[in-house]
Amino acid sequence: MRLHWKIQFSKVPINEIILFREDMTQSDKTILEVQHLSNQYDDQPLLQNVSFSLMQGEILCLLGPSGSGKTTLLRIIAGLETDISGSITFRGQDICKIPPHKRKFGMMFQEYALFPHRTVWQNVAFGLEMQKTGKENQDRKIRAMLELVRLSGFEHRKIDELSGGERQRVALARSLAPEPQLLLLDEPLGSLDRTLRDRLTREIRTILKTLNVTAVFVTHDQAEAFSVADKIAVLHTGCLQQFSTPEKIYRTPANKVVARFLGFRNFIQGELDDRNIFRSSLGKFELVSQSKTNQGPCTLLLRPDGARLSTSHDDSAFTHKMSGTVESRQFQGSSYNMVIRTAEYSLAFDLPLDPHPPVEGDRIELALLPSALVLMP
Amino acid sequence: MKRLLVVAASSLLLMMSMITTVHAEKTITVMTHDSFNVSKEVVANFEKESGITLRFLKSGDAGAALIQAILSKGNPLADLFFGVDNTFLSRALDADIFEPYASPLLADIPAHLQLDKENRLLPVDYGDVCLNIDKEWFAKNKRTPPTDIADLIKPEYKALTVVENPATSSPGMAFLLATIGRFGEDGYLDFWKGLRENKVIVANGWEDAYYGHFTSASKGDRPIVVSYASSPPAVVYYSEKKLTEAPTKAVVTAHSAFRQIEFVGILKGTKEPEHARKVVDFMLSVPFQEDIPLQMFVFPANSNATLPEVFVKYAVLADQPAVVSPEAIENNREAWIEAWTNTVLR
Amino acid sequence: MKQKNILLRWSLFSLPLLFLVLFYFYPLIKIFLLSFFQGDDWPPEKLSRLISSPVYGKILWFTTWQAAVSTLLTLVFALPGAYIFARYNFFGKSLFQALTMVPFVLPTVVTAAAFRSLLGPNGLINTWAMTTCNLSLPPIQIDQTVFFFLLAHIFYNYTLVLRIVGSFWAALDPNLHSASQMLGASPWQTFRKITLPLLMPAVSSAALLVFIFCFTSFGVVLILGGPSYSTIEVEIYRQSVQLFNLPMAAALSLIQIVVNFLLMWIHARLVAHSRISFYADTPTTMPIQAKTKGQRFFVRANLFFMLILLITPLLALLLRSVTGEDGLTLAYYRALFTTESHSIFFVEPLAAIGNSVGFALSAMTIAVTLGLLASSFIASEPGGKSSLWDAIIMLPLATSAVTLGFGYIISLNTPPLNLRDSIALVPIAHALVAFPFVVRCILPSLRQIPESLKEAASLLGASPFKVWHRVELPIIRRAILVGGVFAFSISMGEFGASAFVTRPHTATMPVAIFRFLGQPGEMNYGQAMAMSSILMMVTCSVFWLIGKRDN
Repeated sequence: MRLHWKIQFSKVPINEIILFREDMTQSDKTILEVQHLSNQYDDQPLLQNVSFSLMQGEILCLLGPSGSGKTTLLRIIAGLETDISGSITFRGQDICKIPPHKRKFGMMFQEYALFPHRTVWQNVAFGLEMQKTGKENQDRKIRAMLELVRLSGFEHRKIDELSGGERQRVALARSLAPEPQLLLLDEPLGSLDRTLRDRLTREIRTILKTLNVTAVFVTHDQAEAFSVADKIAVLHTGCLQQFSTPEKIYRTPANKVVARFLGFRNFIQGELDDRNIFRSSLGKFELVSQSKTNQGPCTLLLRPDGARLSTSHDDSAFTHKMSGTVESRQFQGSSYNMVIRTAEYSLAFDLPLDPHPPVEGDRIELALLPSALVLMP
Repeated sequence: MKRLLVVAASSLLLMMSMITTVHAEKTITVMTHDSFNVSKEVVANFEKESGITLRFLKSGDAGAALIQAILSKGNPLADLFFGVDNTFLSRALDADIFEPYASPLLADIPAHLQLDKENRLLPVDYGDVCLNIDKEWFAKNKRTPPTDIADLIKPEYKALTVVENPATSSPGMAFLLATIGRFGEDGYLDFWKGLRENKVIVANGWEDAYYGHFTSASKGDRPIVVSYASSPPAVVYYSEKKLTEAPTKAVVTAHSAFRQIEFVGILKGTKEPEHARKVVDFMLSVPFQEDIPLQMFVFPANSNATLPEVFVKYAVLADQPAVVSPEAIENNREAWIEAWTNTVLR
Repeated sequence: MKQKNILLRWSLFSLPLLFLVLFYFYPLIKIFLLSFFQGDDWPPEKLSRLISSPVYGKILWFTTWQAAVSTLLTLVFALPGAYIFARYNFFGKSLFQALTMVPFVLPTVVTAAAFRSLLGPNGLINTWAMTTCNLSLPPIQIDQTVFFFLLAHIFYNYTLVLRIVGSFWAALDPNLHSASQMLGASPWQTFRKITLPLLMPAVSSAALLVFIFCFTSFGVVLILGGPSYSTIEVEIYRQSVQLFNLPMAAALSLIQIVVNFLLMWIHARLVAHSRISFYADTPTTMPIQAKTKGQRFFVRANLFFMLILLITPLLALLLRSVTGEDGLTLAYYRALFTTESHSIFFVEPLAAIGNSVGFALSAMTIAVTLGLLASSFIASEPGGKSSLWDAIIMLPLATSAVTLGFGYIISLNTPPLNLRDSIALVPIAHALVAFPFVVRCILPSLRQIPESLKEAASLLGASPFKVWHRVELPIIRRAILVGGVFAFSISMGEFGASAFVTRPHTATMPVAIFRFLGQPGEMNYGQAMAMSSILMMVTCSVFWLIGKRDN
């Protein structure tokens, strides 16, 4: 099995695969709009009042732990779940009443759901058959698609003769072949191993971007979400926690739930005064970048990437200081993962390899980047 | 699942052990048909007196049981066979599976029942196959019930009759024979043609005709059915509430019924001919014969047997049943049935 | 290694093979030989009518026609039912499932009684229609018509399709359905292009069983169809029992066997060729509650249909068993337990239940054991040969019971096989009919297990037995259960073989029912209905319990 595969653009006549529609090129136009969406199962709310919108050509990641409602949301957009309240409009049209097979959306399933009684070719052909595309046109598209996912020569293989990675590529080709207006991907890389996943994530993004396909991608893996998405919607227990770009979500998680899901643990209790000064047992921090000025007791997140060893010739950006004892030091390759004990907290930071951080039990002085201090609501 | 398997396996073992049970030495097996019945007490008394253990082997309907007896000729399944009737008598005798035995009790049995002069088959019981009518229905609809089978083709009895298929039912065959006896080989098909035009229903079996179509016994719509002359006492005997009058009536006017006689015989190849004879004597003796009416609802062959009250009151016998000889039956059975089928069904 | 495998597989298969040879081929061949070569008449004379008379051609045509129509109708009606059982949860599901098995165990006469009390000229519906609409003639007149026994065939075989296809359908990945929809296929296109092809092994297995059942239909056609309709099986009975024309009966049996064998062979080849694996890596999703209006309507419509088709005749029967001349009564049930009949053949209801259940459990054990061994063998046999074995194993189903019964009489007559009058013949005969059923239930599931899974298990160091026990058995557990349930019910409802060797104390429930129906009188009929109701309730509760445990 070839683990590495790359699109060779020279070989693939992209224009032949996707016949660009005029509106598809307008990337600033809102294409999908979800408003006040709720859904219940056995009186248990699965989704509560979810709203967001998506532009043409964007890749949206629905990110959340299992049970957060992300797959349900995807299936609702697909039309596979219909018991909902709220509205979903696509290109300005309410699609709630349109059955899934008439929405012209594509979907890639968790275990691929390839048709076991059909060959690779017949699987990819299925959507085109349903569209009643002419035979010649159909053959050309399938061939191009298989080439795009580098499965030329696999046309007549049976599904049970394929490896996991090959199945994944057949599934992608199958969902792309009918030129969906919107591609939905339900944890498409879930069952593959890490290395393969990292590679495929990037490849999927490249393919989607090349074809200018608008896509919704469900995952529970934040790394995957960061590398594939233009926008991320973080879901937790059926509520939309934050909807933004990957960068913004990482830099300023909207709340503790999002922050925790991203792996952040450094939450400091303290008090904010009217001059935007945060006081806690760690000391005084002036919060410059925060626009919010909720006075009174509040929680501050110290992002783990926002710290450096405090030295005499300090970089002016790292203005805030704090100190503690090294509880543990873990070598991570590109950085050290430090757990630092202060009077009240045990805080985790990632420090660069140089300057060399002190060993366990030693005293440590840290300088913090003000932008890495995020006030939690 | 596992527990289920254990239960199943142990029940299997139990079954297996039942097969291998060795029978007592003086066991006499009586092969018979589904409808055979006898009281526990009568059998128990006989077993006590004679020291013979009786074992009954039911082998399907009368026809099927006889064929099994014929097929196992030479290595018989049983010592005796009960249930050959006069429609099958010739076939049974031709197959040469019975041993002659002139039981002293034959003296008590009317000569007209003793169809086999060599006494290979001895008459045990008899009954008449005839029309049964639903008295209530006729009273309610203010109509006169038929008194003769010839009446059935009259317009006033249109769509009122259900008969059995002679190809699949023993009373059906008997009734066909009654019509042959009555109208002769030349005339019976005309009668049946008339009956067909009169919208007769043909059922494949007695159960279906009686419980499926007869107004008196079921939710059927036919107040006239081909059944036995002894059916009315059975209806009274098995009524849900006490009845003082039979709700049905048998039509036994001259040449309107066919008499079925059932025989018993000792199977050739029995290892216990002595005991088998004792069992034949028992079946012809008064205790067994007096048990017959209420167990099988037919008349005992032995004229010394006293009839139960319900029989005396409600059962009738044809004075002059239609007659067809057993030989003629065996020789023409297929042709008659074929002709009947062509006339009535096709 | 390979040599050893072959040896192992054949030694597994030897038991079912021995069983078939002893209790099927040997008796059958012997009765054929006797019929054709030892009769007094020269057989061609007795057989000449087979060709000269158009009757037999017509019978063969009618038999095939009605079987095909019955099969088609059953499939059309039962497939939606199989779908809702596979995909949805609804109130009373396990009870419904148990109830659908009841028709399967009802003796024909009882079924006929049930249908008549519902649809007959004086049945519930006609009486109601006549009184409410003031009609002088009953509006429904299907008694003794072809529709009546087609309806009865659907009634009998509905559960076959429901169970076999339903359990298979439940194992289908529901995402395949969604995937097809997402690719633009309408529900109907999805069914036709995706679901149906994937269901094909189970659908064709079920269809084949239904077809053979209807092809060899005896009681249903005899009673409900009336005398104008005759199947080959009816004709075999008539020729052998009524006319004592054994050569003709044997020839007809042979025709019946050959036709069915060809059919089964074609079927086996089709199923083996279209061998498709869709073993889902993840356990398939649990059945869901119907949510949308459409789904709810679909589920309810199906349940309503089941209620009409299956439950109303049973209810009519139940009603009949408690209705006396003056309305409701328990007299028949009381009489069952306190009868004054002194007959030596009288069996207490409890004893009859015990006999029935005992025979059924034994037959089930034999059938499941043999079926499991035979399926394992067939599944591992390469294509061409496996279809032949598959078809051979199905033969007992296609064989006339009368012919085989007579075969037993003339062949199993010397020790150590002197079984012809032994009650062991009852579970053996039942198992012979039930065993092909079990194979039909298990084989499709067994074939779905991908080779890779077994290989993986043996690479992990599992012995062949362990692979079978730990990997295959758990996967086909449900199929075994379905097969077992069928084997059990076939035995519970069987009358022919039980009646062949009835002894005073071993009467089963169907035998007891027949005993009552053999004599006139209100009490007899009432007790037959009461006994039928008990049979109904006993089977229903057994299946309900099994279903509960299963869930």
